[in-house]
Amino acid sequence: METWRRTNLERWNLDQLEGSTHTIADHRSSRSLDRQPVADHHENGVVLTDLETAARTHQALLAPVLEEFWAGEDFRKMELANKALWRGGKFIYVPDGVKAVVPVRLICKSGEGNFSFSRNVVVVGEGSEVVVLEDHQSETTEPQSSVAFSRLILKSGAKAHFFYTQELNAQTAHFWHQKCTLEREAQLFHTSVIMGGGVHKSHLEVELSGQGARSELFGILLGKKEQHFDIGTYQHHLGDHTYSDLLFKSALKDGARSIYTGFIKVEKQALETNAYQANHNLLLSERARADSTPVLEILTNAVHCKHGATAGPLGSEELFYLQSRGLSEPEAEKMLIGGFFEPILRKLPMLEMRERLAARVAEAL
Amino acid sequence: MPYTGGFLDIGKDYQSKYGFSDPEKLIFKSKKGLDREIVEQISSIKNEPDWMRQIRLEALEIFFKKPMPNWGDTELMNAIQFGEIYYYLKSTDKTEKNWEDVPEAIKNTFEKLGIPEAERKFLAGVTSQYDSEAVYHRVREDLEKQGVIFLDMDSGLRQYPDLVKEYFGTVIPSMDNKFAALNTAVWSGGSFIYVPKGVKVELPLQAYFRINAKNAGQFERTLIIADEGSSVHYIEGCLPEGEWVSLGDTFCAIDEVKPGTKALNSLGVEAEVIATRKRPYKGDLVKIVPVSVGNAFELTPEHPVWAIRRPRVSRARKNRSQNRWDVSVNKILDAEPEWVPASQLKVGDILCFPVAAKTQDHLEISDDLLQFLGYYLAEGSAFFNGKTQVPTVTLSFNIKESDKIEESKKLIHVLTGKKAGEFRVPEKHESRVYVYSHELLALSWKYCGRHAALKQLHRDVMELPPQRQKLLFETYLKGDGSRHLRESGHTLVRCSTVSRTLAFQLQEILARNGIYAGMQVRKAFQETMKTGRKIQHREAYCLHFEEGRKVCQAWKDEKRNCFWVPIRAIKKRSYVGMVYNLEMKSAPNAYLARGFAVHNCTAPNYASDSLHSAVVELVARPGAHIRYTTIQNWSNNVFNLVTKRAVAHKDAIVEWLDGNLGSKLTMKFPCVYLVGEGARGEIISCAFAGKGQHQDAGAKLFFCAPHTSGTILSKSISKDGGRASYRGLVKAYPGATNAKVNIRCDALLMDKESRSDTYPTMEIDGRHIQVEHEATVSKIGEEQLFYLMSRGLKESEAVTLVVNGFFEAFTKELPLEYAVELNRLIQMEMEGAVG
Repeated sequence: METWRRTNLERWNLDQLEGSTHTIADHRSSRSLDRQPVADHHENGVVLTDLETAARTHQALLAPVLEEFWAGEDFRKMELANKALWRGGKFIYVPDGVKAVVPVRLICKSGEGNFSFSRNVVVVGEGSEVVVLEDHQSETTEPQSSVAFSRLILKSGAKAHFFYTQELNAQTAHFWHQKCTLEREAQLFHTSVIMGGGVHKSHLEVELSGQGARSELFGILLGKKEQHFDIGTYQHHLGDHTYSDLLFKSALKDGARSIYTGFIKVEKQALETNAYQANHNLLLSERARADSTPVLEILTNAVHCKHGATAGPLGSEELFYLQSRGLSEPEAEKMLIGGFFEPILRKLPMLEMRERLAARVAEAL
Repeated sequence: MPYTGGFLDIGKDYQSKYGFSDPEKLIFKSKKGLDREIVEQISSIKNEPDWMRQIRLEALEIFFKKPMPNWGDTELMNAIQFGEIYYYLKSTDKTEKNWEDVPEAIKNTFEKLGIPEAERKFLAGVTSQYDSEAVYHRVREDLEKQGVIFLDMDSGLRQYPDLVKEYFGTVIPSMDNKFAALNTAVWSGGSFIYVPKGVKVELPLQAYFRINAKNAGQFERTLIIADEGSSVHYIEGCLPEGEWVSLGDTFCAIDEVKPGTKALNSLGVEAEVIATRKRPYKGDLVKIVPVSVGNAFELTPEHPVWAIRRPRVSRARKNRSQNRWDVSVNKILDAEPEWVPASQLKVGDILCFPVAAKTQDHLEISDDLLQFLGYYLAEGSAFFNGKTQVPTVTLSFNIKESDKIEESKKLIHVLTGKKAGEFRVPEKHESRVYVYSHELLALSWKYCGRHAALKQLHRDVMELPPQRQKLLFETYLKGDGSRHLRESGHTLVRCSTVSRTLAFQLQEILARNGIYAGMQVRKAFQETMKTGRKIQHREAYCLHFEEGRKVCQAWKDEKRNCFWVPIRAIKKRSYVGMVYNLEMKSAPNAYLARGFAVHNCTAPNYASDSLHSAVVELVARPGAHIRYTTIQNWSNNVFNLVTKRAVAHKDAIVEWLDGNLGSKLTMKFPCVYLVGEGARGEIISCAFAGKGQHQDAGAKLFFCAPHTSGTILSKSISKDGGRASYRGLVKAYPGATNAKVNIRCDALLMDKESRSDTYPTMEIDGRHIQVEHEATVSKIGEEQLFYLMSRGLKESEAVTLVVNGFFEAFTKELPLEYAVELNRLIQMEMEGAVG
């Protein structure tokens, strides 16, 4: 199967689930919404609750969402496991016309156990706005197989900033799948920051189903040691006059490996579509490896699509120039790497977040 | 925008040169399908060394074991029926060095393709392959002296077995993929080139490939070895098979036929027209005049006509030379007709006039109505009265024809329930029968049309059983026809009409009733009456036949349901303009020109598919330079699944120029392995995907050594629902320090139905390589079109200009002759893209 050609499914040991040796981690610590001024949200009618609770209280809204498959055939095994065994999922619902400016943070902090299954659902009502952070963290340093699914639904005219951060321990095999559906005129601003885990595979699907929907997707990937990242994105244009842009950047040290597969599909009815995709890889060591497969499938002609991909080391001219201005080599490298990610960092909406992330990037390398 | 080039006469009649097909004349034809026996047969016919036979057999096993690729256009790929293909076809015994010695028929084929001419003009060497075997090959003497080997692959194996053994299958082993295995098992023909150290072959070497036989597979194998410091440019031409086909006929207004309409084929059976072709043509047209002069038709000289040659059926009787019809009827009925190019037809040869086979009764057309329609065709008119807007149907008779008047009145009464009126104009000797009836007016218009010159019968009427059609014809004759009793005792029946279509339809109806009616054309003329009144007579078509006579101008062939009509005269005239051809859905791929069977110009295998699966291996030794150019324009029934790969050693350069215009499905990803330091690979690929085509083209570069570099440039256009894909792979291994690669893919989509895909893959190991990839997909820029149109160009011209510019990066690399041709091909493909 093409999707799994470069990453071994065995790393998740899902077959172990059949025996009795496995334990499933509780997401104990994700009960809190981390210093949120919850009251503020309650006033607006924003719902922040466990998925289990919500399945009862918001049955009409959730039942169809929970029933359907979010991912395609290629991820069916993962999804079935997650569907059967999820624990500690979260549900966020923003009613129509509510601008929830205070960020909501979902921390998927898994405790002890071989496996962890999390499941989050975010529904943003018509014309509403929300900022959501989904952080994946480990509490232990034990090896773990984590399979997380996330669903984001933006109703007409809704606007969302979504941040996905993965900082799991180096022993973890992490699988993450998110499907985002954008209805008419909805806008999504999505950032992924991926730096943890031993083996990481993720798939981000953005379905631009409504007319005039817009999405901007950014990704920062920092790899070191023997980390393995397999990242897939899917910009699926179903509605006309839709727009999507994607920029994924990765910097790889040591023997880290990144695989990027980006897919733009423009369906027949998606006239006047603009779709862009860029993937840039910085290889900082001899052993680092980057594969990139940006795919376009265009079924109509009233479109403008462009994609680009590059891979290579830091420019030797740039390094030389900076050193000639008195910087040491490590300093020059650091500066250039900082500059490499600058275009994404610049786009982050909150200053605090921007600074924090810039610091993390500097620290990681 | 008509093409006005012509500064190089090599390409002058490029398009017309494919318009023919040859009858199969084979020395050996393997049985259909593939098994061990066939592979051994091929090997033994070729008298190959044992090791090659082993290689073939091993490859065959691999072919059987390997599954079909599970990526790409699997739907189309799975349509290939490996069991229906002839894997080996041999049409000549040996490869000739002297053009004169090539068998006549094959020589003609390639003469038409301009190959010896091309050789004289600008090539250093030529190989021509016809089905499985190379038929001609030649290389310039001075090159030969320098040690350049340019042979067809079979001769290469015979003459230089060690060299072949050393390199064969080293670049592309049989294990590589299913189609490479297939090729290795059944390969035949192809080129073998060896360029010795330091020799630079300045002029291109070229090979032409043509599939002629039905369901044939072509599996040529090419191996090019450029030794240290040498250079060579090899051009591969895959010829369109009947791509530019021709017919100058207008009977069914061929220029107006649209794909999807139905037309009769040579068996008299209705078949769907799946494509229409037209091309500009300058040259002779042959006018073939059968004994019924009105059926004369014109076509281009190479156009095949379904005919029986006179000598085969003439009776051995002495010296009755004046009598052209001295043939044996039995011989005609037994003879097997053949497709004869129009230019080779002679007076006296016998043409086939098929009878429409389809019969379907339409009960809503009553016998009474048919009889009435006969009168209407001859004498009637139906109109809305100018002032009162009353629907009126009138029939005008001579005042004396009282029996006809009475009969027509009766018919009208039965059909409408109304009593027909009669209006007499004694001074004109005219009597008009009229009725005011909506229904009858509608029926008349529906089944017979209106206005004398435009009357024609509805298709339902044409399908009626012959006996019923006769009813119509009988009353029609009463109006417009005449009968004479001849001295011979036969009755001569004549009728004439000013509607050309009607004349042909009546001829058809008579044919279905077992009568071949001759047709003459009476030219338009002016007549001055005694009173001084001038009457304009329009061009009229007269049908005539003799009742009761057994043989009347033509022989009836019950078995084949046709008539055999001799040719009375053949004329030629020069012609400049468009010529047309039709492509029929089912076999035989032929249609009727003025009633006579002519072939669609392609080889007769449209309904079944051919497979072209070549393997090309290039070895560029240190410092060598190989350029390999392909312009593929196979007809739309060819699966073109080709494996092409090169190995570039130290400082060598390999360039692939790959143009894909034809075929049903092409899967071709030219590849360069850069194994030596400083090696360079360049792949420029352009694809044009039209209706029903999938061009799955791409490129692969493997960087295995330091300081290697490469570029990939891919340009594609999709039109009329065609699909163009770029599928590429760039892989850098850890040792490839300071390597650089740049990939660029651009796609243009001409309409909403078309599709474009980009599947690039980059696998980069190690930090010392710089990779850049960029792809764009868009429609033609409206600003560009607007600008060009504001400068006075028509929209179609502007589109062509933009498209030519889009492909420029490719065409500029081609030898001038090819660039010109390619531009022209693109222009033809683009025709009708706008409006």
